[in-house]
Amino acid sequence: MIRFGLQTSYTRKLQTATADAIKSFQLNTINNKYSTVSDSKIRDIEASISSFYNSLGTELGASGYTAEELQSFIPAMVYTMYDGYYIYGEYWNETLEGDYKYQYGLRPYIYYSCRYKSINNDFIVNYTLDNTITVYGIVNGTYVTKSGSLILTDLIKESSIQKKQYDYTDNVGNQHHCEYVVAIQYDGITIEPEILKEQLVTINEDNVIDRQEYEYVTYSNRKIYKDNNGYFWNNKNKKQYITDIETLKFAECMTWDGHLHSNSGAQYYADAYEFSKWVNEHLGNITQENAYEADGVTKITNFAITTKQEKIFDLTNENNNPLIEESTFNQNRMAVIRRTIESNLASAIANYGAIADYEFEMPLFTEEDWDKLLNNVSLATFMQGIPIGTKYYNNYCIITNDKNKEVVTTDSIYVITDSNGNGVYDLDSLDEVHVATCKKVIDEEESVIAAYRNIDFERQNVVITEGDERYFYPHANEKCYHCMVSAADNYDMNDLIAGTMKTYSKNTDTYEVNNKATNYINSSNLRKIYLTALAREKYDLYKTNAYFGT
Amino acid sequence: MGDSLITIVAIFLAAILMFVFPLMSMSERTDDVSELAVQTSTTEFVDKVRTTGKLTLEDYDKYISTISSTGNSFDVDIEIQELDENPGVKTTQADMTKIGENLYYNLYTSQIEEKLNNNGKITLKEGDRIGVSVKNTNQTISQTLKNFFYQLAGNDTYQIAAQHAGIVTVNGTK
Repeated sequence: MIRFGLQTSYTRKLQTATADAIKSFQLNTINNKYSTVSDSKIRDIEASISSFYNSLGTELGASGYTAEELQSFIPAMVYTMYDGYYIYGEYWNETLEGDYKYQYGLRPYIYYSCRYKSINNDFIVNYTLDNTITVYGIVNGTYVTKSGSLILTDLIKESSIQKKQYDYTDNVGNQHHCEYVVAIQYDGITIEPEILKEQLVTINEDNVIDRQEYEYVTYSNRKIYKDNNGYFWNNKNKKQYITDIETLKFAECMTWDGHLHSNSGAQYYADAYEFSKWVNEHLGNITQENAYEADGVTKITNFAITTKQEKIFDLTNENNNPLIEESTFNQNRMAVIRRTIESNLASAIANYGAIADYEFEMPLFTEEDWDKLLNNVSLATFMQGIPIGTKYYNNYCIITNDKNKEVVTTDSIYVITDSNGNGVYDLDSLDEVHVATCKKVIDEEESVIAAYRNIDFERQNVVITEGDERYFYPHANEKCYHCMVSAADNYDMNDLIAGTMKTYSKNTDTYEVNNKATNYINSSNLRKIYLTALAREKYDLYKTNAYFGT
Repeated sequence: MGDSLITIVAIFLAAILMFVFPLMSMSERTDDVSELAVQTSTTEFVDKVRTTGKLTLEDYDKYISTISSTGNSFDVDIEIQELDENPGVKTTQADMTKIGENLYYNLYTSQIEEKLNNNGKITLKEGDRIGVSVKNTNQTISQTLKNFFYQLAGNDTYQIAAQHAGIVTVNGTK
C-alpha cells in the first residue's frame, strides 16, 4: 500500500524536477546570445542541473532528503544535444586526492557516431538530430573530413543555381570580388533571397531605451542588423557598428533596392547539393552491414532497426529522402543514436555504486520515449535506490526541449499570414502566427508571407540596470487560435515537405490524398516559404557547415 | 421464556459480530485496494499526457478499462485548460514588467471525448493544464453495508475517488 503511494509520488516529483530543469535550460539559452558556444552551453547545462536538484530537494524536503543526499539516488542525467550528448554523473577523477576519486560532473561530450568499413573505406559518420552528417576517415583510400546536409540530389536543378557577383571597395581602396549563391530550385520550388526583420531593444550611450524594427541577416552565426547609419551587431544590447571587411563585404553584397537580403536558404541547398553529390559518389554503397564497433573488428549486428542491404547514403533513390522520417537514412540515424546512448548510459548507470546494498541498472525505455530522445533535444533523468516499503524505487523521466538554439526540427518553423491584407509582414500587427501545417491556413487558403523559428516568438529580456529588467518580443504577433492556442489537428509535416497533403479518412482508416490542400501548398507561397525558412534557419544555426570542403 | 429471548438476541449479536463485521471490514479493504489502483492509473494517465503533450484515444480507452477492471463503474471528469498567451503579447510591449497576464480556455469531458472520437488524439502545448478526477457511481458492497447500518443517505456519496492534475511540459507533435 505504502509502496504504490510512494512510487507515484516519487515519479511525480522526478517529473516536476525534470521539467524545471528543462525550463531553466530554455530560459537561459533563449536569453543567452552566445549559447551555441560550447563553454557557454556547458554553463547553461550546469545551471539546469542545479535547478533540477533544487527543485527535487524542495519537493522532497518534507520527506527529509536534502539535495546532497539525493545525489546518491540519481545515477545519471542525460542531455541529448544536436550532434551528441552529455552524461552527468559520477566519474573517476585521477587528479583528486585520497583513495575515493569519484566526482560528480559532466562527462566528456559523446558524438552520435558509427564506424563503417568496406574495401578501401574505413570512416566514421557523426549523425545529428536531422539530416546533417560529418564524415571523417578514409574514403576511397584518402583521408577526408567533410560535413554537410543530405538531400535528394535529383530534387535540385543544377542549371537553376544563380550567383550574385559583387565588387567591394574597402575603406583603404582595395578591391574585393565576391560571389554568393542567391537562388536555387529545389523540388520545383525556387528558393530566393528573403528580407528578414525583427524587433530589437537597444540602449544608447545616454541609457535611452529604443525599441525598433530592423532588417537582419546572419553571417558566420551572428546576426547583422541594418539601420540608416550602417550595419551593426547587437553587443550586450548596444549597437556595435561593423568595421570587419569580410562581414561588410557580405552585408553590402546582400543589400539591394535599399533592403538587406538573406541568401541562407539558397546557400543551404547549394551546399547540401554539393555535399550530397559527393556522398552519393563515395558512400553510395554503404549499408548497415558495413557498420563496425569502434574497435573496427566486431561487426554490429544488434541495431534496434535493421535495414540489411538497403543503401544508407544512396541519395538518388527517391524513397530515401533524408528529410522524411521513414527513409533508410533516418532509420539508420535513429538506430545509431539509440545504440550509442543505450550502451554508454547502461555502463554509466551500472558503474554507479555509491550505495552498497543497491545495484543500479538502466531501466528499459518505451518506444515512445526513444522517439522523444531521437528527434529532439531532451533531458533524461534517472532516480533509483530509494527504499519504498520492501523494494527500491527505480524509474526515469524524459522531457523534450522544443525551444532551444541547438536544433531546427521540421516542427520549429512557424509561418505568418497576411491577416491585415496589406501584402507585407508587419511585426507588430494583426498578422497571425501559425504552425506550418495549420488546417485553417491550408483549408481557407490564407496568404502566407513569412516564416521564422519558434524561439524568435519567445519573450526575451533586456537588463537595463540591476533590478530594471525589460521584456520584448522579437516578433509580437498574435498566435492563431486554431493551431497554436488550441493545438488541434493539423496536417502532417512530412506531407508538407514531400508536397502531397493527405487527410485521414475514418471510414477506410487510411490517409487519402487531399487534392485541394496539395494544390494550395504548391501553388501558393506556403511550401516555398516554409522550405526556405527551414533551410535558412538550419544554415544560420549550425557551425558544422564551416568544415565543408576541407 | 426470558432465557430463550436472550439466547436469540445473543445468536443475532454473535452472527453480526462473526459475519457482518468481517464482511464490512473485508469490503472496505477491497475498496481501498480499488482506490489505490484507480489513483495509480489516474496519475500515470495524466503524467503521460503531461510529458508527451498529447492525449490519444488509445491511452484514454486503456485508462478507462483499467479503472473499470476494479469492478466498479466510474464517473470520469477531464478538464483541459488551454493557455492563450496572446493578451500578454499584445498589452505589454517594450516595457513589459508583468508576467502572468494569460488566459486559459477550458475543455470539458464531453468536448474532449468528441474530439477524441473524431481525430483519435488531442495535441496540447507547453503551458496547458490537464486535470482528471474520478469517483465511483455504483454502490460498492461496503457502501451498501454502511448504508444499512449507519443509515447514510443521499446519492452523492462515493467510496472510491482519485484525482490528479498538472501542467503540460512539452509541445505535442504529430
